Amino acid sequence: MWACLRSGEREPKLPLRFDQLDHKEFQDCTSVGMTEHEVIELAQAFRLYGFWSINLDTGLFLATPDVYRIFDMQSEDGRMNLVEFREHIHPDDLPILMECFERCSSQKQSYHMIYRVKRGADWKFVRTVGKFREKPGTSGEIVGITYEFFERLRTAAFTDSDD
Amino acid sequence: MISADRQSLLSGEIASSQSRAHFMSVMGRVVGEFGLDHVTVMAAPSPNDIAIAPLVLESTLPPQFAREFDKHQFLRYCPILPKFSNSVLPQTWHLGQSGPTASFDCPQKMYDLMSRYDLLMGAIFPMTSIDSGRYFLRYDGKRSPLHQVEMNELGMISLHAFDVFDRMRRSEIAVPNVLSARELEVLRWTAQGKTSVEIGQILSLSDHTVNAYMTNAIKKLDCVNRTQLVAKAIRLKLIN
Repeated sequence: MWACLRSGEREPKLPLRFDQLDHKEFQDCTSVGMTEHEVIELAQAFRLYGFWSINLDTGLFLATPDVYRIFDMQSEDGRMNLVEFREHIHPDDLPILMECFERCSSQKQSYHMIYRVKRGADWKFVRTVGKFREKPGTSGEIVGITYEFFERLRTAAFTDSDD
Repeated sequence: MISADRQSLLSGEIASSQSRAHFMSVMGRVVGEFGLDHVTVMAAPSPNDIAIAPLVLESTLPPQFAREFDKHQFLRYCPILPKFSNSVLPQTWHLGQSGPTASFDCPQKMYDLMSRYDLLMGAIFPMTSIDSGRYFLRYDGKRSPLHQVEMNELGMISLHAFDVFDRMRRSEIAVPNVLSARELEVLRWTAQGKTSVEIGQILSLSDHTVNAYMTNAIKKLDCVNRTQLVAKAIRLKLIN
């Protein structure tokens, strides 16, 4: 949708979707003999793939190194500095991203969002999928993944042993 | 006073309102000018609403009336509300002298309650906020039905009044209960990934005190946890 915009066209409102995780059939990697660790390893092999969690009670936001790479931030101890984080988000997308966090943390929902993140003087698209999960003895936490978002293109590469 | 002069004078007074209290005081004058007794600003009920009290934003109606009205869930039986499902025109009603009539068909108990509080007639002017919310300006009294000329005049005044009130309402949302300097400081450190213990060490406070500041901030911004609080504070640009 985003990639189809021509210059001068008005950008559509960013998609903000909740509870969109259940519609997708769970792909059981063990059915083809792969381990979950191998799946993660392969997914991370071709793009930045960050994992994160936010403790609802403490507000602590922990993230893996790829999250910091995506946002072009320095990681010290894995704890995200949201004050710095907001400087890397497109100002038009920041309110709706924060609203995502608000709704997810207050209503314990899942969400999916595509937004713009600084890349030098330009912007790149990032996709985040997050969900609430129970954590015994606490109010719970939001866990999620974030990765650079590329338009899905119909591409194919063939190799021919005769050539 | 001729109606154009009165309308201009009242609209001027309404426009000068700086607070809800001042606004309601001026609206009290409007009500008096038209021989009415009460004015209410409320959110328009949805089909699922069964109580009027949570919808009321400001009103001069006796709170006891609203309690009794809601106790019996009379909102469900109000004969006026259904008319707003397919019309934006103002609606008026008159209870009649001896029990419910065809024009105001309601349970006898509802009729008795309204009669007991002298709410024998009234008018509702539907309004739409620029943020798309639907609201009512409702007037109640015991006078004879409003004439068309009076309805026209009251309609214009209501439009003006709602515009002023809605501006106040929206500015209240934009600037919620202000946090104290200390609460903002603690909130900022939390957003930067610090724990209560660490914030306590930075600010020379106990972690209990830090938690108390956070709890106050959570309440003030109408949040349920720290994560929501931090996100909301960033969204509202409360953190520098």
